[in-house]
Amino acid sequence: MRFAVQRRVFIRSLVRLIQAGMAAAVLIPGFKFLRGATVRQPEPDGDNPTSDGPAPPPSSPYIRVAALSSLSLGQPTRVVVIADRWDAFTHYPSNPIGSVWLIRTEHRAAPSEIEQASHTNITIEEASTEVRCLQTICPHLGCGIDLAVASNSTGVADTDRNGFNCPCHVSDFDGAGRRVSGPSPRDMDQLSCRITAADESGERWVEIQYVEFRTGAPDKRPIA
Amino acid sequence: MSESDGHGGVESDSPQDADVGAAANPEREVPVRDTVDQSAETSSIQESETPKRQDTQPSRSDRVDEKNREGAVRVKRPQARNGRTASVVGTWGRSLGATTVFLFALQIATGLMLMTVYSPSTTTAWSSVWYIQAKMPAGWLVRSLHHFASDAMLIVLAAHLAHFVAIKTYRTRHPLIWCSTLLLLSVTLSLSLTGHMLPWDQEGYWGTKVRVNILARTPEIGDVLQRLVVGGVAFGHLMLTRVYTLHVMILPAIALFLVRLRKTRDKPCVDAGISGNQAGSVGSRDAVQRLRNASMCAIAFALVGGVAWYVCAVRGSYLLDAPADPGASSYPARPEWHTLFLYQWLKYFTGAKMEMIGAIAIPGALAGLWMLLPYWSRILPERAAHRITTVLAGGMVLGVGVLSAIALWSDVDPSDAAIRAIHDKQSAEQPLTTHEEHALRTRSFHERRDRARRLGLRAIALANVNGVPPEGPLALLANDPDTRGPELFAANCATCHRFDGHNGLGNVPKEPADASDLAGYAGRQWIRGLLADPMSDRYFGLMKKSDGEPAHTRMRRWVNEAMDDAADDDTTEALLANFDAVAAYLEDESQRPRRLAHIGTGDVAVTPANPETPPTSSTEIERGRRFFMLTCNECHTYGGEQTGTLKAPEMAGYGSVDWMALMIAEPSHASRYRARGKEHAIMTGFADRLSDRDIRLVAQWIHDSQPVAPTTSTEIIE
Ligand code: FES
Repeated sequence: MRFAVQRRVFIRSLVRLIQAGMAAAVLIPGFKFLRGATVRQPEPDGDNPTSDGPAPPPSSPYIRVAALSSLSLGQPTRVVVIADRWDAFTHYPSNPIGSVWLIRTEHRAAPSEIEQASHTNITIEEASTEVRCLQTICPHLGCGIDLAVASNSTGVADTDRNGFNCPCHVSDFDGAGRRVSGPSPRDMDQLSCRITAADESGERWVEIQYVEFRTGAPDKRPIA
Repeated sequence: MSESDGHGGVESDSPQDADVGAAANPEREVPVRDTVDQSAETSSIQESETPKRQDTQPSRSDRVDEKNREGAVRVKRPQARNGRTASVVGTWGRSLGATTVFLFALQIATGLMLMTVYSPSTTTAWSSVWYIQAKMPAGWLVRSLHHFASDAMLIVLAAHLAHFVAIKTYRTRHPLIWCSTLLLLSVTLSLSLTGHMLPWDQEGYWGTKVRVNILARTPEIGDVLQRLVVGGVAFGHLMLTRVYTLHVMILPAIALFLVRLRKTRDKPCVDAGISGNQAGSVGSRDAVQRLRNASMCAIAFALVGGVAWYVCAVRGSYLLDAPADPGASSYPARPEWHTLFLYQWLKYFTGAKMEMIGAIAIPGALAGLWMLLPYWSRILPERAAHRITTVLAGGMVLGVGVLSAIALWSDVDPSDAAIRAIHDKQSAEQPLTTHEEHALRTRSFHERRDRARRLGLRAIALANVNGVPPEGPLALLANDPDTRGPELFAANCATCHRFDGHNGLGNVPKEPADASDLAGYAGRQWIRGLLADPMSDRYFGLMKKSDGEPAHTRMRRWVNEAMDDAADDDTTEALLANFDAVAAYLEDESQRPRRLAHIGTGDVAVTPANPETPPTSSTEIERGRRFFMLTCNECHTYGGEQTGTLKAPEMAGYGSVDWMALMIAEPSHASRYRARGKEHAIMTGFADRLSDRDIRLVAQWIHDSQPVAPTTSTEIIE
């Protein structure tokens, strides 16, 4: 009698164990499966960032986005960033991965730069050229940030307002990407950016490290 | 699937109660509920725990039924007359449940049909939806029914819940009936939101982006939730397949379960309905209710069908925006009508903490409050509970209405006059009021909106003509000169050139132009204008050599000499006629008139590229050709040959896409601006800055442009 009860209990727990084992065998890989694979896999190209901006993930390569001469002074230009991209099972060898605002500025050369320029064969003008690169993704909820140009019906650009603006919940940023008003929790995200030395045709190129950041938080954390 | 029985048995709690609930009664008396409800009043918890008892004793219920039925009817008829409107609300209100189920069934039917065509991946989602709308027989009907029935379902469910509040169902019937209906509303909302993303068009893409970012802010689990929905870090194939699974499998399964739950919890009423068929008077009332249900379903169906027909068949809408473009900056996203209030609501919460409160804490608290309504309302005295609930519901309806209205109102496009006044004020350097700032913003929002809408129409028009290429629907617009041309022009050419005075996209750049205006380039009017005055600002007037000297002076010299040589009026006239002829000839070289088809929004509309210009006769072209060979060929080569020694650009195929592409890529090519080995092109070459494809797109767009009159892709598709 006691043996029979023990037997029944034993068998029952054995059944439970088998069931639990099978469930785990499905659920554990199932959860991993649903979490999905991370799909960004860019190749580092070993360059060192020389420009301002946050330290990007070490793996993110410099991507050439524009010729310096195509940027007019003080006028922000939006360029599409073309790079190698994976979307799950599709590999796009060169595909838009996002877009950025480039702002070319010239600042008065500091004595040290003139000094430096005289050592190398770059001109002072070259030394004093700077390009600032800003993400187009709004730090609020991820819409695209546009120029705050309100053109009227005659097509004349309103040149007084030279900042940026996000059309979704009306966040305003100034010309340098600093937050002016609206719900954005931080300034526009600046990306690190550099200008190459002139190539054979005399052209200098703007290269950036493309990173996207998490929206909705005051601090700037890259999306891994 | 009819709900007719499910909602028949809505009761008042006591016969003395002459309000809505009581007035709703006489149409459909199921006295067994009275007994249950009275016990519920004394002990609310007991009722929620004892549904099984009711279910297991149908025979007793039936007996009570028989006895009470006639009495109940007799007693309550007069009250119905007192509150006729309330009675209408009560009886027709009961059909709302049936209508919900009907609409859900419609969604399942149309959804299954759509599933047979729809293909969830970033390259095929848009294309398959376009295919359903444009090519499948009755595809537009099936999809638009699916589209609008989901809206209708939300409205009907909301009305259903409001009706429940009015007749106090939450208190008198099994709590699960209220809870499952409320849950059904949120599942329907999720179905609508997931469904909105599936076409993978701009609207769905950017709307979803914002929503996922809100979701990611949920404390603690936000990251995991986002990952689960997105299936990685970036929106792509996996996000579509996941959302698709949610939309066609998981959410409908939950919805079905909830509908089923409501029915099983309503068991006594179902029984009463069946037995009512046998008992004469109640049977006929039941039949009347069924008729009401059927009519209401039919009305809902007719409304949905009517809207679908009007929007798709009459207005020709595809309910489809441009293909999702992750690289697009500034898509002016707005939520759908049913979440507009939430969008407006969130505007009042700025800062990360406050946003959390506005987006998650307050809505969560409200949802919880409503969810638990059957429980807390039973603790309070009946009147107080009813009052609180009515005020709460009324307040929410009002709030949602007001917030939606504000959201809509703040997006109303300001009048042109108002905008002009603001611009005047700006040029007078007066400060703007916030109201005026807002007007400017709203205007630019509408400009972006219009542009986005045109892109959508354009993509559909292109697909209608050519189908979607294997790379996916984005390639439609990326390879379309009328779309990419102006964008490329604005980004690359407009630093020096203009297009009819603007940068190709309608804005006038800050810096002045220093090269020719290319609208209608190499067309008859353009050439003729150049021959009349090469140094006008439209042509070479603004161009300076690197030493600051004006460029292209030889062309001017030639024109001046030719005009001076023409001594009398007759020879002048002959010369001018020759200019006309050579303009006609060069237009012919550029192959402009031969390009015909412009793609409209619907089918291919074949219109001449230059409808204004009278067709050129071949004799005039021939005359122009002879004049060219005699005169112009002295400097301008034709096929590399020339009669003189000075060297000017090649004119064979001048103004054609090939000619322009070479000019853009390599302006100092031997056949362009280079003489005796000396480069004298002022323009910089774009060979290493733009891809061949982009160069040809810009060239094609300029080639197709109409003379002088403002022509952008945007107007052509209108
Ligand atoms: S997404 Fe830019 S303001 Fe909200």
